Amino acid sequence: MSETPANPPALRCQGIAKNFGANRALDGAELAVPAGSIHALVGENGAGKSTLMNVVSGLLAPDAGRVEVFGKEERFGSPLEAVAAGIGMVHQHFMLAEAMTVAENVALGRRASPLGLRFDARRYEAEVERLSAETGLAVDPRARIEDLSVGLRQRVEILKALARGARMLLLDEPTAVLAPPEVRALFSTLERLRDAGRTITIITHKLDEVFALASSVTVLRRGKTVFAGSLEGLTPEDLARKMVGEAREVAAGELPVGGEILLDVKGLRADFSSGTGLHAAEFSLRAGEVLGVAGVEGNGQDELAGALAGTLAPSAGAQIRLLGRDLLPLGVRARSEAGIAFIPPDRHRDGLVLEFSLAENLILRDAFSPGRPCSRGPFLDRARIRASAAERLQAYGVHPPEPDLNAGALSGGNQQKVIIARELSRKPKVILACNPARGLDVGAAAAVHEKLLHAARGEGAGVLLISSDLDEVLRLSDRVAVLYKGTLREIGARGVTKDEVGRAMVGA
Amino acid sequence: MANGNAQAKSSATFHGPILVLGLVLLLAVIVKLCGADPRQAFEALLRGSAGSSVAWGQTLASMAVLCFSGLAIAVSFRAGIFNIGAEGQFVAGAIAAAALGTRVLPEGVPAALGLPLLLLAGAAAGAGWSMLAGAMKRWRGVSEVISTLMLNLVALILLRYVVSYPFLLRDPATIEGKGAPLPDGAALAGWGGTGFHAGVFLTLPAVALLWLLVFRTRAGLSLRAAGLNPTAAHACGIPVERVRMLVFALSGALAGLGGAMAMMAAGRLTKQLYPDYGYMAIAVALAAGLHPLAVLPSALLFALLETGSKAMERSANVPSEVIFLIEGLVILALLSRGIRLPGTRVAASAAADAGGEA
Repeated sequence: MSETPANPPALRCQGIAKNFGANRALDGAELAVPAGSIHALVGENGAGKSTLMNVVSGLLAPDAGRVEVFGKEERFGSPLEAVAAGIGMVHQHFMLAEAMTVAENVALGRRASPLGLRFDARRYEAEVERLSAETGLAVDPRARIEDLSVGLRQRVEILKALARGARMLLLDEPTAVLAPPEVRALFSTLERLRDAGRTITIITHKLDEVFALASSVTVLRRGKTVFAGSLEGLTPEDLARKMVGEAREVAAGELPVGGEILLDVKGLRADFSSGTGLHAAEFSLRAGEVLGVAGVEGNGQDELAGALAGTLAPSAGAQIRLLGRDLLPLGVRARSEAGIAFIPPDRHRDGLVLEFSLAENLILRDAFSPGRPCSRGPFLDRARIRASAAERLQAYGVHPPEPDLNAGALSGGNQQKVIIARELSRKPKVILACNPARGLDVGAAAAVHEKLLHAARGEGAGVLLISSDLDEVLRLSDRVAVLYKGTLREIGARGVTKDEVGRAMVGA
Repeated sequence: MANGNAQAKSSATFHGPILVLGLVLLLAVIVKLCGADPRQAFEALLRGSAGSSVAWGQTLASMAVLCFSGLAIAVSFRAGIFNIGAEGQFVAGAIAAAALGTRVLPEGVPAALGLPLLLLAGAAAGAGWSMLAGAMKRWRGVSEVISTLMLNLVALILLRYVVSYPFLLRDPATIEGKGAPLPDGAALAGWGGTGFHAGVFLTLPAVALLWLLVFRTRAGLSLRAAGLNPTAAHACGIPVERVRMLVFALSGALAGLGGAMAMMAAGRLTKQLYPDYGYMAIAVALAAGLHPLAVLPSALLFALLETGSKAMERSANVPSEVIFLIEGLVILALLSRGIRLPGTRVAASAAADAGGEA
């Protein structure tokens, strides 16, 4: 990083370490943000980005290392001290009082008058107006937060930080909640703030955003800084490689040559009070192939997955056969014993018990099945459960691979890998994968895709990939279908264009 | 992340030491506010609950009642069922055991037959009473908080009814409100003139078995999963509805067993059989962090308070209701300290969000 005296770093972290129990979140992380620039902090889920930002913003005290802000060493005991040093943090989940106005939120936590008794709304409204004019962040100071869009709420968060005298802004995944036009507005805002001399750090794992906005980048991997420097001369591929460690290309492999039909579905109807339902879906799935089902969410995906997994009962007249065996009368457990694996769309809601250890989560499917290797009679075989968990966590690249850790302590990507490990290690015949890479960064997504493809190509499972991510569907699938308003329509084999599928997704 | 861990652990720890300290302090303040001398009140409390073999006998018998009902509450809360009907299930167990003992079994029934039969009848009746609420929840979507609470009232009225009419369970030889005496082979006699009876020993295997069930068996894993995240448990093939029904039955059986035992120790059914102990059991279970092993010391603590408070009222002139006040405050304090009930996922998911991207 260029560190001439004329351009001293506004923020410098050296050798930051932070442990959460046995989990080493930061392990000597380094960060230097040049003053008056936009810097990107990137890394996979669980790399330590948010932890590092929490250290800088005073939410967490580091176990080791030093933090320098505008050339002065700081040891923040609370977020307020970080604010006083000129640091403004904009969290991914906004910290706003929804029933209060913009001006009131900007005033929150600050002393309104010498005794703190009188609240002068005018003064803060004027302050918001002044800041709005100065930065171009237009927002009505008298509007209630609950009436504002997500993009506007984010503006309020930024204004709040600026009103407290922030010279440096830290934004945690600022675009995760925004629609595309809002993203563009945010970017121009940030550029304007930078031109006005403020220093900005954004945390992201979207590489196109890094190149669109930042001039320098720090890459974290497993709590360590693996790269820091200017973006000049770097390609997104370079950066992705640095984030992940080694190049992990997902090779789709050879086309399967007409394996036997595993799953045969006819006349699958589902009608529930919510959602569009499902209209007579019909398809078959062969061994070794990936059938991708694209579609905008809420077009029958939950119904399709639930009816196949057994969590929802379809309407009469449906036929679901696995290798000729009728699955309809079987419940969830019997279906999973028959060879159906289910990677649910929402890992927190349907996939994991967050308060359970990883080992316990890995045997959830076996809990009610006598004779599974996890038990001796009615009792849990704890030594075997731990050993098998350690082995599977290792094999599926879960970090950290600690069987006794609570699932809630893992990052999203690693939680997803735990589910994949539980489902795929049972050697299923058919895998129902719903948005398997949602919210995951490049590396974790590639790992998940690799496991799914391996199960299909290497072990002859059939994969039904139900996803709202069109790129994911096109990259992995041998055949592509689209769900639109509850109707499943097959579009074509591999090689079908994004245009064709995109049109079908909106009913054209 | 560390937060997530601490959260999960806190629900499984016994808060004994804090509890004792908090109790002593609160008691001192409240007694003072009542205008009495805290020292004298403490002395009376201890003398009344642990100052003699008679006092200990009464305390341990109360502990047994609280222990069974406390286990009933702990196991159902763990499974995400807010069964607050231990009171009614206890009474149902007592009525069934009394009916069997005085109406069905012959006068000269041997103890080896009479005692287990009556206890079983109590457990079965408690389970049945509880499953009424379970069935209403499963097939009609009635919240078990409402149904178990209402069933408590029904059970109490039923109790008053059966001991009021001679052709039911009332002892024709006494005034209204007392059941007929049990045959000797069905009663639990007190030891050496105290309230202590052999049934108290049953609390030990009960606590141990419940611990084994909850933490060391597949069924226990299913039960806890169904409590913490029923949708995930369902998606993983755990029959959540069936697990819930079994937990309703188990928890009712525990409370009903306690009711039968208490009635057998009294020698007959009475209108005032440990009133409100079914509600106190909620406090016992919460203070134990819903951990079966911790239910025993927790029950002992509350039993000491309960028996001691009567003596305190007599000799230190402090109303025994003060103990209720203190119990309430202690539970509020424990709840605000972060004992989380299964089914309330706020704290857990917030911790996961905070740690999720770190």
